[in-house]
Amino acid sequence: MDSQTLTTSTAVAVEHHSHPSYQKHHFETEGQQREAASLGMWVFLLTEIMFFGGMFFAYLLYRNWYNAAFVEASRQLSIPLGTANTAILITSGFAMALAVWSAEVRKKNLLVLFLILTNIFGLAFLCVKYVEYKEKWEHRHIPGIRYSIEEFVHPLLKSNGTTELEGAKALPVDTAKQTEMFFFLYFAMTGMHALHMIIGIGLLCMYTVLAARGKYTNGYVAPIENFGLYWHFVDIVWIFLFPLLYLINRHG
Amino acid sequence: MSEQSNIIDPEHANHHIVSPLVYFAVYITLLACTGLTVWAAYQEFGIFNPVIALAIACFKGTIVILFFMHVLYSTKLVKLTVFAGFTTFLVLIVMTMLDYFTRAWGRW
Repeated sequence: MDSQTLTTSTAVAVEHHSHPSYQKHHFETEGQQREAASLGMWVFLLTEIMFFGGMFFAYLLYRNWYNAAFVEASRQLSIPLGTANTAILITSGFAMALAVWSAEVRKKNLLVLFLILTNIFGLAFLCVKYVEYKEKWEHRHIPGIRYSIEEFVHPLLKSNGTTELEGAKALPVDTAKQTEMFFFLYFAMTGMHALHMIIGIGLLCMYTVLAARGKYTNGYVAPIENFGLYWHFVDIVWIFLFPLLYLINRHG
Repeated sequence: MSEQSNIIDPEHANHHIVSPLVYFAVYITLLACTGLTVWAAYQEFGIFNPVIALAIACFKGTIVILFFMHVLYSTKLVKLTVFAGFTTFLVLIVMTMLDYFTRAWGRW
């Protein structure tokens, strides 16, 4: 480095008042940087709302058009597994909220602990999802050439003559064919949700390692806070998916 | 100096750390609402079944946004951004639905 550059950079450093090492050069204050990051994250999440919104819209439309098929197809989903998964995901979100709090009050060990808990509950959610998807594969309810309407045309009977799924009714063939659309939307929506979780879990692993090195407990909360926004957003998507997919007309 | 701070921090926002107790109360409410929505699904409310399910989901979503996502404690800029986003989404859904459901008007 020649002396000219050295003088210039020293001059710049003197001109700026002292600020934390994580504050980027183009921000006047730490607070301004944090506000900008938070706003940017929200704008990204709004694009995610539009992305999932398209699928929610398709769901609303087909649920009205193919109502009878959607009611019967929805019975194939397990309410105990769905409810358990909702509770697991909410718990994961709670751990994430506590992780943000730990970063704010600069408690490194608690932060790492809560990030790991967030991750464990996230993985538990995906494990339950795997069990559910596997069951759909066995019943040939995955849309495509292997898809079978058999169970909707002839609901499985137990030895005492009642149907295996409570309240299941036999559908005419043309209506039964419409159940494929329910499962198409089910896999598109829960699959996209699961993909977001997998990406989140990958990011969480990275944040856990960096948090253990003390990167986020010196006042630099923004990355944890903004990841929290993402994680809670994924929670909200599931909060809507659960009643819409699992709880259609269970009382009939 | 005060003019300068008006530019870089126009809302003179104080950073708020949300207490774990608030998070815990929200967590319990979310779990209770999950139980409530499952219970409601088995009751006979006629056309109100999906309405109730969506109302509970909207309530859960709202408290997640306000408390877990700190929007309640955010600046007006963030609040307005979030509100504008959801409103735009609702307008898109409602207007498109109006179109689909009135195309076959009177022909069912």
